[in-house]
Amino acid sequence: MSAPLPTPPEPPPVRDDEAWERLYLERTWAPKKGLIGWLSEVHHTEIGKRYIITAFVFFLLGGIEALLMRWQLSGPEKQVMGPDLYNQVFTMHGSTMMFLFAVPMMEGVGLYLVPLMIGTRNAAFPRLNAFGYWTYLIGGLLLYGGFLLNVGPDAGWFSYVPLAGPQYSPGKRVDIWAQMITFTELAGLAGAVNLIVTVFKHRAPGMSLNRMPLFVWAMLVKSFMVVFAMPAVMVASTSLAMDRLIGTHFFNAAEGGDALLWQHLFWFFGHPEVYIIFIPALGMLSSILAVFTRRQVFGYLPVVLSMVSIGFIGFGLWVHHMFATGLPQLGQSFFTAASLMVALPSGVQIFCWLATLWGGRLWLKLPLYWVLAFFAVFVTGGLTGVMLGTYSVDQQVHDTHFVVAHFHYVLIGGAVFPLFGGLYYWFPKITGRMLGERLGKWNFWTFFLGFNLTFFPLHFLGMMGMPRRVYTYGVERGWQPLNLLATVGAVIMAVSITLLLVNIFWSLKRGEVAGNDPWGADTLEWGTTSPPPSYNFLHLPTVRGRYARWTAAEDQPVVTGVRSDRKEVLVTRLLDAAPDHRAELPGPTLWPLWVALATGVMFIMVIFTPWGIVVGGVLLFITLTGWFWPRPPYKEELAPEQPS
Amino acid sequence: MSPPRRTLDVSHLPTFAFGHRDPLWWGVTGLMAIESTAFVLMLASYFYIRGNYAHFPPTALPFYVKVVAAVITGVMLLSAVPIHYANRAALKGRLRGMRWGLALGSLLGFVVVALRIVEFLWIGFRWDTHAYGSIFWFIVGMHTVHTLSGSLEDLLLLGVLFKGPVEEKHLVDVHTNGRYWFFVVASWLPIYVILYLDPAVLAS
Ligand code: HEM
Repeated sequence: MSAPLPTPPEPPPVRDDEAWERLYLERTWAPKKGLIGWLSEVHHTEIGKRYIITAFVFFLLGGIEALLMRWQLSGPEKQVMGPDLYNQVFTMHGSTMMFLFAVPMMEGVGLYLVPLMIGTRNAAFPRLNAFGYWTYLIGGLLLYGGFLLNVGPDAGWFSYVPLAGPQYSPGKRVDIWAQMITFTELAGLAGAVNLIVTVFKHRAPGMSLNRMPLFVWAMLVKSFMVVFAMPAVMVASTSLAMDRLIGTHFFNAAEGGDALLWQHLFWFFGHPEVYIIFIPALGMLSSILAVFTRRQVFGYLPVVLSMVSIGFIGFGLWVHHMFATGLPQLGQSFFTAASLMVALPSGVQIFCWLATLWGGRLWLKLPLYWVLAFFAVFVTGGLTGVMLGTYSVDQQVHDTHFVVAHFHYVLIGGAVFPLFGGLYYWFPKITGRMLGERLGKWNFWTFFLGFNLTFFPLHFLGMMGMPRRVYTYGVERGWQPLNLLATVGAVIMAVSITLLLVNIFWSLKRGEVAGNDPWGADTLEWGTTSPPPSYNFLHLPTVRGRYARWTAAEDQPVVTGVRSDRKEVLVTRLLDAAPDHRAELPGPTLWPLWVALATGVMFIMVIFTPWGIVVGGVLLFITLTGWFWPRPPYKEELAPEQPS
Repeated sequence: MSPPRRTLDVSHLPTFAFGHRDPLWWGVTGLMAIESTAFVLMLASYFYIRGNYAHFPPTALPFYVKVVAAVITGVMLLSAVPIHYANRAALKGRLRGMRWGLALGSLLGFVVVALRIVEFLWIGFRWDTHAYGSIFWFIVGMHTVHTLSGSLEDLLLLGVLFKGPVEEKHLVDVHTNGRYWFFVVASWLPIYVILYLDPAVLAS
């Protein structure tokens, strides 16, 4: 790639000549080579891929933990694990799935796809992207490092105080959990700001807000929710860490603190979190639906509006996780009403999609399979959700396996099914090859079957009184048959995931070559090669309708005049995406990695000594200075006055 | 593919822009949204904890601490003036104005940090004395971290402005940095009112 290029005779910054243009772009956007090059990567496709792969590895780890739990629960009084290990394993499973799999996975898919879908060359803040990835990775390694050293957290994925406080959880376990949270939330926030600004300022000319693909809308709403939800859990986890490490009393009732404060802060984040996972999945779903019904999604405006209103209502629901804590009457009614209200926009969306299916000619390919299954599974989860949103029912089944069944129906139905649909749909774009069809069908049917077999019986077990988070049960309870059934289901799911892995590795080598656009799809990412080049598009596109590629004119204009000898991109206006100015993006650099490591030193060292703040602070200042120090200047972009 | 027939030429467009046309402006706005949310939630926690006390505050704020806090608020507000001046200079590309504005602004920022240290030395309770102490130190401490990092950022920019060469986009950086400083100042005001001007605290 860095092979010496023939020097053009007289190098004008822009030429109308495709071959020269490509040559320039390739040289300008080429990543660095070798290990250093790998570590200094800042392009959104590469960072996005890393997020996706890392999150998938955590999904597998969380899945192994789930299997261990199902093995332990497959019969009464089994001895696969003792109570202490079981506590660690369900905490690890929950924390992994929520913080290290679901959220980063959605983030990764967004970071990979959004800049392509809106027709630009990279995300708005490439280095922030790299920083986010490294912090996320450090957080995940911290959690699993701790687990391997037998300091895995054991107070549940939401670490309620006082159990998680200094008195009842001595040792370092919960500290590791709290710091992992801080890391991953930092990464989440970095990614969210990046996505928001990319969507606001880098859309292709003509892609006004009301022409944005639904997927981009979903990512935008999700990112806004991250911005307003994640600070809550950072405040919470920092307070918890301080209670444990330097003797503050935020949650210590004896000194004026309050244990319920933790629950408020946590769920103020925790409930929106569910939508942070779910809304991107809706975006994937909308993309897939449009393409495989061969028509525009019914009711663009209602779908966008309901996504936005879910975004708002999602912040008014947190207290329904606390119905069992004894709330004032008014609070109970208010939050019950709010919880039921969220069913309205969800309903609007479901009906819009059903209408899309109704009027379309279904092209039954694998992505659509997962979407159709989503409807079945998610609606089931939604129904139990309406039940649980009612104060009186919640009082009955709170903390039983009924709840476990409910949230797995919503989380797996609402996020994992669309995600796998998305995997089958976008795999050709990311890798250039199609996933195998036959294995794919096996993968789908075993997963669907295994999933229902695992989780449907848990509804009954819950109503029979089987509590969650308890490592075993007595023979006399009569819970054995249903539990065994659930475990068999989990094994079938494991087989299914193995098939998926086989399919992925097989297809990477042997899969059918996809070409630019195997599905005849509407969004811009399908207009470039698969996988996309390091500069995304040879010519930056323009747009004149909602379904960019379906509505493009025969001679749809392309953008020229963006320099190809620098990493320049077009900045457009927020509402109408009219061209505004050109901006240069930074290239590969190691600074984000150093800053992430400095952050890592700070957060991990404070677990052991408050000096971590000082050491980390100094390191951060040094590394941030390196990050922000200007590159060598361009003559023609100097300010009017210069230091003498 | 045949070569595209129509093109949209953007080569005449500028390579930088001030204000909300600039992507970094939005990035910093996002940062401010995040930090405002964090401060609001910390203040909400403060009220939550306040409600747990029959007698509030559990430890009175000494008179001279109240005075120091008032002085800090004054200096904070004052620091916005040179920064505003630096912003104006940035719009016009005037080097001297930016240098003076940033230098004075960061100096006042460091004065605030120094006064804060005095305040904390005199305040008479620690973060581990009671929950009131915890949340008080948390909020004020977090704000001090922002003041400190904002002032250091000013210094960094000053370094660029003195060493040169200065590019057009550095003018935008100065402007964006100034706007962030306004945020630091503005976020102090509700904190000051809630933590120090609460009638119960004033009367203690
Ligand atoms: C793939 C198959 C999965 C299986 C077999 C499974 C199984 C389980 C089991 C057995 C428990 C513990 C029940 C108990 O309280 O004793 C559990 C808890 C949990 N699972 Fe899963 N799970 C799976 C996937 C997921 C996914 C994809 C997510 C999230 C996206 C998830 C999120 C959670 C959470 C948050 C908890 C609660 C942990 C806690 O109590 O702190 N699970 N799961």
